[in-house]
Amino acid sequence: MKEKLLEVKNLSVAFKYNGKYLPQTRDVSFDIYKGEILGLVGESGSGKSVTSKVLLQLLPATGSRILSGEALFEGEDLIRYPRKKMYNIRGNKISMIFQEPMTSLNPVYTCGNQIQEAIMLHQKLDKKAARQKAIEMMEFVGIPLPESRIDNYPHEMSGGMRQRVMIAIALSCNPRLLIADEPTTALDPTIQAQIMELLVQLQQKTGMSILYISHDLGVIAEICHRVAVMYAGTIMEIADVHDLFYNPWHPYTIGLLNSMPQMDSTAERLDCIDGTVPHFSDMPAGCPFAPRCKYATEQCRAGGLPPMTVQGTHSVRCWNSVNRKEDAANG
Amino acid sequence: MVSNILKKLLSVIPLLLIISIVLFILINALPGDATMSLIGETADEEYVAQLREKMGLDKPVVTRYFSWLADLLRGDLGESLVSSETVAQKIKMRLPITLEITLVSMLISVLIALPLGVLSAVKRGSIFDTIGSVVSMLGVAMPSFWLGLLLVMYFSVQKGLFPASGFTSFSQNPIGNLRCIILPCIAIGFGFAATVMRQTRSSLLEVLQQDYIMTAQAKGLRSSLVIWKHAMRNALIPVLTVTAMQIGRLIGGAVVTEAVFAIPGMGSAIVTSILNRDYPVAMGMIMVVAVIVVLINTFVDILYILIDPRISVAAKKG
Repeated sequence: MKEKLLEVKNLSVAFKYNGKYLPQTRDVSFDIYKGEILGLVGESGSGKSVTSKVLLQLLPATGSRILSGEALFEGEDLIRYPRKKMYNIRGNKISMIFQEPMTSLNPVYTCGNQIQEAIMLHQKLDKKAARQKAIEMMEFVGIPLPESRIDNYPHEMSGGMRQRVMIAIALSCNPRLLIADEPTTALDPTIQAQIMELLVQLQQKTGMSILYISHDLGVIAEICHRVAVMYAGTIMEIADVHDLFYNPWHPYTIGLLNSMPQMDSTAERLDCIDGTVPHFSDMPAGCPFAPRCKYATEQCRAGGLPPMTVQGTHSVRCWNSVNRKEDAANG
Repeated sequence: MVSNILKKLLSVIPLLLIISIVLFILINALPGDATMSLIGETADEEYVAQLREKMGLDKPVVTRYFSWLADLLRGDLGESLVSSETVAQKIKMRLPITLEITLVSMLISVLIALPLGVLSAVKRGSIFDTIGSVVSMLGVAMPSFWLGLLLVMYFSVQKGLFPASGFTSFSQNPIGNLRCIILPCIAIGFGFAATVMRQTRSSLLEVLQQDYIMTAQAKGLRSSLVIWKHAMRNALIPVLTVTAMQIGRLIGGAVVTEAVFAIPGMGSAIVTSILNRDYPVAMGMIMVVAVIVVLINTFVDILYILIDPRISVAAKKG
């Protein structure tokens, strides 16, 4: 069994809505093992970004609240870690890259300055040494002519190059975990492929773990070892990537997979899941997917959030699979 | 970047020429001319005509403009029609006072406005934010001369801490000088601070929503560094714009406050000279104020280029 790097248990985060705190994510649990890429996939608004930001305490201090749960990282609970000590985790042991490379870099400082900053902060290097290290990092992430590009401002670089700069910042202090929040969504397809390939290469070189957030199953299939499927603030299914794509259990996962365009399909129309994701202020009493699920029963609609059923490396949150498992046990 | 700065500096010349033309036309459009201030409105017409000829007022406007401009470029602003001083002498007396008061009020206001603006943006919705917005509402709503009167009533009349009016120059008596400018500077600076503070708050709030702030936090930077290094530099441009506009307004426009404190500044001198139809003085002083305002704005434009590298690029493309 591989060693766990991060263990998220029963995490629920609430946001203020019309004066009341309502849970936005519910009972989120997953593990990230050392050296693996875990994909977190889901539609927009399903709570992927919230889940990733709460790990670094990056949610706004007003208007959000942790209802329950913990996130154990090297024996410490990140959720309740003192804010002051958090500065040593952020950008050092856990780094993050974001969706929009065009706006994620500060426009008034050079790229070099922004890479150096993290190095000087966490590795206590002086300016000259940090600059040298920044050049090495730029080379490491495949930026051509790093000696001259280090003095470029973000607006003098393309989207792909800026995302490489972001990756250089994130990796400059050899983090144990990289949280990549839709890092290729805003890029052209060819650049997208380059950045994905780069991340996989860097992961292999450094042995870090990656939490890769995306709404694109194609991207997830390409690079992840395991996948967690999120829907309406909760994780519906977690499995090895091969398992998930060839043997999905949850009706939502099946729906997602069917809604992916296939090159070899002769169907004229794509399958899609009817209905929309419920807003967190208006959650169904039972399984959040029940209103859109063909197999929904009375228990699904009223029985509360279904528990996670675990079978080996495959977990699913579905009443039907709970019942199946019980039937199997009884019969 | 250097070429952009040079371009900015060169653009000052046509601007000042246009200002001088507009100023000359406006002053000439005022009813009556300089002869009236010398000999009164009821004087003999023949005598008036003689005097107009002697002063060159019978020549066409264009000729008069160019001779005025030529004198101006040589540094000769002419003589006052009312007193025996030259215009340059009058300006030399008044301008330092106005500049000193402007500078000190600006300093006071920025020292209040920046920290308070930052605090109310960072602690949005907190007690600091509420106090900040009340203070800034007061500052905007209260005319500075009225605040000046209140300050005089309390600090001068009741407590006797500062002189109620009058002016001592810095070279005569530095302490006395500070004592007599402190109240007017607070009166002017407070209203000024209100505007700067509101601008600081709103522009910082906008910047704090930006993705690169999250990047800076995710890097592990301390909140103070995120705010003062990453957010403030981006939020500074609108703040600078407002500050520069206020300075421009102060230099020629603090007339009422000058009157309340009986300070012999530029504003009151311009008004007096227009009322006396002492047009050479009015034109000279307004022109000097215009030059200063234009220079300050140019300086701020150059600061923009230094603060935000994207502005250079925009200038190149545009």
